[in-house]
Amino acid sequence: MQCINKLIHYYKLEYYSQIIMIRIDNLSFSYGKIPVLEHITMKLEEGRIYGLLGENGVGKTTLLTLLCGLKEPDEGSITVPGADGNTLFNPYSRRMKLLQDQYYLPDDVFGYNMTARRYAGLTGIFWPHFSMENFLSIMAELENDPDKKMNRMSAGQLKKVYISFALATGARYLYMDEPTNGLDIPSKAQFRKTLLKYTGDGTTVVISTHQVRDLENVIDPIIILDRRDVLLAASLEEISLKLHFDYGTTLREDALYREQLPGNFIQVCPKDKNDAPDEGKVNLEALFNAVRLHKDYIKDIFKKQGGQENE
Amino acid sequence: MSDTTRCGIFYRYFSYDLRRAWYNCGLSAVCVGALPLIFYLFSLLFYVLGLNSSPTDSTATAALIPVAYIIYVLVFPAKLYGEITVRRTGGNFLMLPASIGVKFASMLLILLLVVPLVIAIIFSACDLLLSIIPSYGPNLMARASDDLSGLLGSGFSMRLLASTTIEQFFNCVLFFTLGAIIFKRKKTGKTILSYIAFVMILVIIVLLIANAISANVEFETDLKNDLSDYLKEWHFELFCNTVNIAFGVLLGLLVHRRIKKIEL
Repeated sequence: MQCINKLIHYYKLEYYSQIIMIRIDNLSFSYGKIPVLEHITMKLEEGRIYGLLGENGVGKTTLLTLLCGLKEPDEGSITVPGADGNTLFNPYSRRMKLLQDQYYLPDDVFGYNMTARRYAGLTGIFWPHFSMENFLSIMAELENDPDKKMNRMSAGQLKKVYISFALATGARYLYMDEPTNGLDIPSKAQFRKTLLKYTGDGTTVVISTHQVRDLENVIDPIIILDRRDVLLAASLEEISLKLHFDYGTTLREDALYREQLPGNFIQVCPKDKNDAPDEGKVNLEALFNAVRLHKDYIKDIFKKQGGQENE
Repeated sequence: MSDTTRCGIFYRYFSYDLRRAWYNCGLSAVCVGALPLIFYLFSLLFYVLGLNSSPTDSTATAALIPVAYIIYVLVFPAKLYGEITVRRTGGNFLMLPASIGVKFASMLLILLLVVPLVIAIIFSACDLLLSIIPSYGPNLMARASDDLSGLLGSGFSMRLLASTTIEQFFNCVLFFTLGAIIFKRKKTGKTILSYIAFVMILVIIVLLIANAISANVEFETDLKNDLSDYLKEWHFELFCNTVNIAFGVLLGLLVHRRIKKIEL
């Protein structure tokens, strides 16, 4: 009897540990006859900032829109846990309870004929945790004027309004498509700061980006998409366990990718037993290029690891 | 009112949608409503310039009613809700935390009731204002009561006229709303073409039915009389209303389904 109770307890724990994740099971999506994503399975854990990387047209935006429910999968499913932890939502059902918990920031945003303050006041009331105070603070941190009409703003200023709004909603799931596109250099740094400052431990953020350098110190884990497939989905810790990022001046024969930097090289090499415990920072751009050049090898070593989220 | 009750949520969304509608096409609604005044001012200008013998009267304003009707049906559904199909704006509508039912109900209220009512009020106010000018003649309400009493005297059903007009207006707006949220580009043009195609199909169906009925009728009289007798039997008024309402409900369901299933 005790054994059965233990078993029930174990399965309950297992169930609840799974329920706090966004689960993508065998997901496929195509535009007409052109397949974009095929049989993708992944888990996205709560409280992480995922970086979704990939070449143009591999389906990053498509995956984001599927996650937030703007598209319906052709095959497979996405389940998103509700705030109570017991309810699972299909994003495409666009249930109010889930919509209150998420915010999707598209790449291309629209400038309404009203001030940013007015827009936030008008729209923010629909998110139960929206804070006007936070919105104005983030706007100030991003050096953006909340009393300027949105349709008179530049693309970068408009993006900042939507970023401020997204972070002020207090949503548990934030999906951001190229958030740093159009931002100037100081704003990119401010974006990183505000993202970390205004997202809580319970907030899951998925950021699709080409500008890996803009988000290098923020995103972890990394998801790299290839045509129809996920090449890599691993945390920075898992990556540094499998790959060595060499910033030395000696060229290594086993380098998967090498790039000359001023005064040294960045080389991505498979982790060797002789390599010291890695202190070298994961260079996302080099990682991305290494993954792109050695797709099968990377997939293979991360499959062997077992800790990879891409099943 | 609690914000968590259904009414509270609807009220909150409706007031948001109303403000959004005002920002989107408040000025356009005012312009359409002020058509009598604008038209009168133009005619006055032409009169002053000697191009016109006199400024227009309320007969011209009466002729502006169908113009305003057509402008409303063609332009406003696409202007108010056409953005749903556009990726950069549609996401804001679809991802806003409110149920599909609430969004749909608010859309119907605004398109079928609030904006037409606002336009009608402005239109009537302009007409009343112009009626102060002696050359303009009686205002539309006074003119309509005279005209309608003549019509009613000739056995015309006022109830049928009113109900059919309202139902037809609702159906037209719903049809163009459906077009606005289905077509991604050239919404109005494509909807007009669809409307023409739809009417043609409808006429063909009605003719086929009429032929089928006339084939079954063994009277020696002509088809027109036969149909008229049949329609009298079916209670023409009830039949018209039922068909209109059924069509309106169908259009409403299609609009609702489109909002629910739309993908960006």
